[in-house]
Amino acid sequence: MNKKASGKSISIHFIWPVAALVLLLALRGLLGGSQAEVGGEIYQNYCASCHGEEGKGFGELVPPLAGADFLAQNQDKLPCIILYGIEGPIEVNGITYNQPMAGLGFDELGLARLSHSQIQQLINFIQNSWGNKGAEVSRQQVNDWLKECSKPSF
Amino acid sequence: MPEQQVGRGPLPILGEKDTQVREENGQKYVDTLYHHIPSFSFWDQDSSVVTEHTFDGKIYIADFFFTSCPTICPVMTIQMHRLYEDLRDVNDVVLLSHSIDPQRDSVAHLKKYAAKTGSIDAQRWHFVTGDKDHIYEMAKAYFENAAASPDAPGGFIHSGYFYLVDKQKRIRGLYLGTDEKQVDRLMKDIRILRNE
Ligand code: HEC
Repeated sequence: MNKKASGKSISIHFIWPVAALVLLLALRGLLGGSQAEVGGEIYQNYCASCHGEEGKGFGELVPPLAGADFLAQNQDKLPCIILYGIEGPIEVNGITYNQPMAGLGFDELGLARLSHSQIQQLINFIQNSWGNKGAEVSRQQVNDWLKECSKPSF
Repeated sequence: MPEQQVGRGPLPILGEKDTQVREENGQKYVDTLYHHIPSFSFWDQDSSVVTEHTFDGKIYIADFFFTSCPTICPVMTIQMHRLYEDLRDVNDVVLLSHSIDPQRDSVAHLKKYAAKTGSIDAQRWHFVTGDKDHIYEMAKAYFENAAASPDAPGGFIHSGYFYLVDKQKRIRGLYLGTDEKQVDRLMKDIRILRNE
């Protein structure tokens, strides 16, 4: 009798942390937490080697993404920059950069490496990390903005 | 706590070996000849002439890059810069970055690139350029497969390796300069080599 009762109380105690965890995860999902996670992974894989884990950039070779005025003012250009790269002088936070960045959208065989949804999640990660506070970008916006660009020659 | 080296013995000597018979006082000796970096002559970002003698009594790390490279070169430069910082207080280890695009990468261009990287002391990190054929010939001595290639991003292919060269000008290790972990290993290997 006793044994059974105590067994039950253990399992009840056990349920609460699990329930709390599930609730937490669901909330994080609702608040875009899982999107940020995917975006963060993609950032680590494709961007951090140049722009740095904290988005600070490197010297005057690679511009920052954290607190970058260029980023804030050119949100609509982000999908094209990610897919096809960017070349030529640009000014970021008062410093002129002129170092070509190759697009990350295609592998050596020309096959797509990032889907539109992954690009969306990557952008939303960058826009909401390291103190950045960009507006949430939708799939539709990514699709529309991508119509503005085509693969450059390099 | 004393520094410990775990899991890695003496560093290998890379490349083909040859032997040579030497006679001394009527005795015959067989010497092993290791692959080594031959003589060279380039200019660095300060317009100083850089030759193999620049590295006499020094360990050095070499790589091959070009300033307008849109893919792996910024990453290589960032990782080289980690080494540069790591070696700040070390006076017998220096860095040597060869441009494989001498047509575009003049001395002035390299100077600008070095300045964008940070305030780089040319005595500790030489960015060099020179005669194109000579650069590609040197690349081969490091087993680097650098080549002009119109289809490649930026117009050149190259491996992204960092080469660890000892004081006898022998190659003691290859590390992917785009991989932070391999550069960590290089940092450890530099210490092993300095204690040889
Ligand atoms: C090989 C190094 C490298 C990688 C990898 C890289 N970038 Fe860049 N990025 C650069 C450089 C260099 C510039 C400056 C371009 C210029 O001077 O025109 C730049 C510029 C930018 C800019 C515009 C300037 C700014 O700071 O706002 C954005 C946005 C950007 N990169 C985003 C990304 C994202 C997102 C990724 C990952 C998908 C990425 N980059 C991967 C090197 C890189």
